[in-house]
Amino acid sequence: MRRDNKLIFEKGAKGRIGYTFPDENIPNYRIEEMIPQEQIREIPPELPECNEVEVVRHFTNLSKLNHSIDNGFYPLGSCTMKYNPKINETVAMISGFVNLHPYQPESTFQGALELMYFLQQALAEISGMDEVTLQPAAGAHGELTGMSLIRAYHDDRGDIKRNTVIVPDSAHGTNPATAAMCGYKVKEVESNENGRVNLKVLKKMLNNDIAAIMLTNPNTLGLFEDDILEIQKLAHENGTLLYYDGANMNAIMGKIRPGDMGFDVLHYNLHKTFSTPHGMGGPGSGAVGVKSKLAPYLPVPHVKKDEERFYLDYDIPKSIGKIRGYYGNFNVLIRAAAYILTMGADGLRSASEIAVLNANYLRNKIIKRFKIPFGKQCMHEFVADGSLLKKYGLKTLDFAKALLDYGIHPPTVYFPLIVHEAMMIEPTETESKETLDHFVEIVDKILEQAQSDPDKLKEVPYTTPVRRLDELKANKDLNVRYQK
Amino acid sequence: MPKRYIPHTDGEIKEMLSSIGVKSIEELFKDLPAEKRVSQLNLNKGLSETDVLRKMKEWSERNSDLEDYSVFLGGGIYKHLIPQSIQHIVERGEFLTAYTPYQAEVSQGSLQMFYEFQTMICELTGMDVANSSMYDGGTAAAEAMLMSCNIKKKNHYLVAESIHPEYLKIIQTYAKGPEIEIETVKYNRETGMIDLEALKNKIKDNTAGFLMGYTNFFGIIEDVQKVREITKEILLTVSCNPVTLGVLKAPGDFDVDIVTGEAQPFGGSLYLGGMTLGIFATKKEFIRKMPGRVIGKTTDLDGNPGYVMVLQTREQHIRRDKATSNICSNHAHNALVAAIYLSLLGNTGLREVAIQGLKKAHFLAERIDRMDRYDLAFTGPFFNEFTIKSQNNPKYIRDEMIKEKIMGPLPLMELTANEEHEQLSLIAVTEANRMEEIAYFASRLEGLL
Repeated sequence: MRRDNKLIFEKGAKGRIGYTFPDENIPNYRIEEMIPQEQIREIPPELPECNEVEVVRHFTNLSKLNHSIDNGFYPLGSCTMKYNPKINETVAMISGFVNLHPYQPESTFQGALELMYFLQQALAEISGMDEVTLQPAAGAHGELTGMSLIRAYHDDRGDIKRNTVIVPDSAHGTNPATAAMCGYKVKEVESNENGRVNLKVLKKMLNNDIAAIMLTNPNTLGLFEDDILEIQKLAHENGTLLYYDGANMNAIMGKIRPGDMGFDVLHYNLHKTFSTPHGMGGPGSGAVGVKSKLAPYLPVPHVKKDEERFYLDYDIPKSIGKIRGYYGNFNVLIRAAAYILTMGADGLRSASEIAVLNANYLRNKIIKRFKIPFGKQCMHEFVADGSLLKKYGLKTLDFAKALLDYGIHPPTVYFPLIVHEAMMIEPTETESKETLDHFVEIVDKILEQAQSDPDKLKEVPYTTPVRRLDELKANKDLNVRYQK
Repeated sequence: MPKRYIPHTDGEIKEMLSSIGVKSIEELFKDLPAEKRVSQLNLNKGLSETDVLRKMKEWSERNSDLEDYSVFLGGGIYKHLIPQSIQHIVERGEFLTAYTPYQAEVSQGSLQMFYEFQTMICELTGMDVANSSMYDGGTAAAEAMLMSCNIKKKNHYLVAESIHPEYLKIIQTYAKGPEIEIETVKYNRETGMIDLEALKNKIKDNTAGFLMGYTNFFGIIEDVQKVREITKEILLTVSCNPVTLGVLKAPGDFDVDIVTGEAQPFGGSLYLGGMTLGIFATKKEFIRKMPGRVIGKTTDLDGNPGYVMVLQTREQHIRRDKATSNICSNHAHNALVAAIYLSLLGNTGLREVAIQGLKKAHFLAERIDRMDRYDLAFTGPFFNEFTIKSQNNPKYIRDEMIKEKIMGPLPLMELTANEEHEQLSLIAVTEANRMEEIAYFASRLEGLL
């Protein structure tokens, strides 16, 4: 079927509309009586003019151009593309959750506060932290909140000389970007030959300037930082706090807790670990957990409970303040709470166990085909090196694009930066053995083709809604909006 | 384990373990320090679908569902009429369960939608370029503050005191790290509008920019033209409720530098303020300093049109600590809701929403202003939200109204903590308020002892 290339602006006809307003007797004031003449719009915005059918068809047809978890395998490393249970959508539609205004008195949304309190407690338990705030709107926003807490902690103690944050060379880009937003200099600590933080180098880097070390554990290579207890000891002896990037929490639920490993702050990605839909890139939730020493700095308001009621506590004198409007992405929080209720303690542990089983099963197959530079086994994901494709004149990018013709979303590619031609593969626990076996078959087919007909692979995919796109042109001749 | 989400049979688990060459799943966790392992999380037992539903219902029933109320609460989040078709489209798994369009060939649905959304935001705001969404109106304003300071390489920033009080607090939080000094500019106590003299006097050599509401938190339509005239040397950001732009002059027509706003009113449900959508638009010359994801049009190998993420060299995954912001994916699905909403309504429908809010609000304001115990708090022109001054305590009014199944008005001091606002309340009216409920609200207000 040929793709319809038209934009919504190119459809419809003058005078069409996709919605009917109630017929009411509204007072016939003139706009000029209400708004100063010079503030009245003269040129109307050019918006689509379509009826409901056209709009439904347009967006339905657009949706069909997307790959999604509901379509097929999506082993995008670091993003935990697990199945998003449909019941979570049902509960998020309950009218008594949907139709609540943030400024109605809290006595009229006790149930919503109880749900949030339940979620705070559960997330504290899963991470081994003392308090949790649900406000941050996304993972990166959670990082910003967490690092602001660290800054507030040091400042409050008069320890204002600490101006640097250490991140591993394998860290997510958001880690250094967040540290910089919080006014910190960033230093990278290199990884050792085992793909872990180089302890010797780290020791030398630790001095009175270091405010925090940001780690993710397992790290972005899918390896558990087995020196973590030593790292936390060194950090804390130096007055440095330990930040946990929760991107990889799906590997360790019910097995070990960041709080017990000595981390002081963590952010979750509820859209990863707790199965809330990624929605093409949000809304997610970056809930943040802290040890009690950081609790005095939590953002306002914080959901609390006394003998009679749940309430929003604004009386946090040392709080970092507000980090977003209102109380968090409530529609995401409902889904995450439903997921925890569904899974329970045992279910969450099983999820992590099977996620790790799936990753190791796949790793063990892939290592017979591609180099996997670090580790002997992995946690919930692993990183392969696509360099062998070079001998056919190909790159990891070509391999990734080839997967698209088989209906598989490629792994995360060219990250982490410390692996050449990196392919970061995270199958998640919701994928069956057949799916993993099928993936391996497809990998073999592509490798065969790399030998027999490499030139064809340079131009894959062929069957997707569009073929490879010219990114250079897109950046050179910037066209970021439609104009008639 | 909840079998319905985890497909593995016991037999398959065994087979997979033996393929890996380990005896148990536990062996795969051997790198974890034994002394720190947990044996059992102290959480609930897993529930069946029906029990999850029951639990959720139980919680939801402890809330006052505003479906059954007349709502006159605003303050950045508004109850509007929402076309039914939106929900059915956005629930499609292809939208809901896709992620950031890293692989453009299989993400054209998301990418084309973002491009259409960006176009709509440019059209509404009158700006050259827009990104594909931010978290909410408050964080979008905070990012505008950071961007202004970054462009000007200055560290003093002015914010109108009449901005949403939560936005001001968010900006103060964001300013701490980069050590930017935030100073407020007072409003004229009579008009409710920015005190232009005060603004003039506060601009210093190291001032990077100024943020104002349009409309402001009191519902007043600020005079952007006059503000622009005295802020020529600094960057001017306007934070708006984009619904009003169906009738109000586009901020771009006043030559402002950045427009931000909260687009929840574009088809978003209330969700306790947890279904927000930040918008962000600016001039072409600043596009490389703009935070957030931007989508551009290009062609594929066959010459067909297609869309990709552009200007990624500004972003954290490439620039790391030199990025324009740490923001990556943000509120894409809410942007889809807004794009569908604007497609259904078009200019005519959006104008209708704006005008109905405007007229109904003025009708109600006139009625209230005539009552003995109430006055309009300010003389400045307002849109669909306005501030009243009452002899009764605003909290008393609010609580009495709840008994009548009316939610609102909003006691202003609860938000501003400013004692000057002790007698002030904020009232929002939209097309969702029917004339008869407006009349009823007015009569109850008048009847209060």
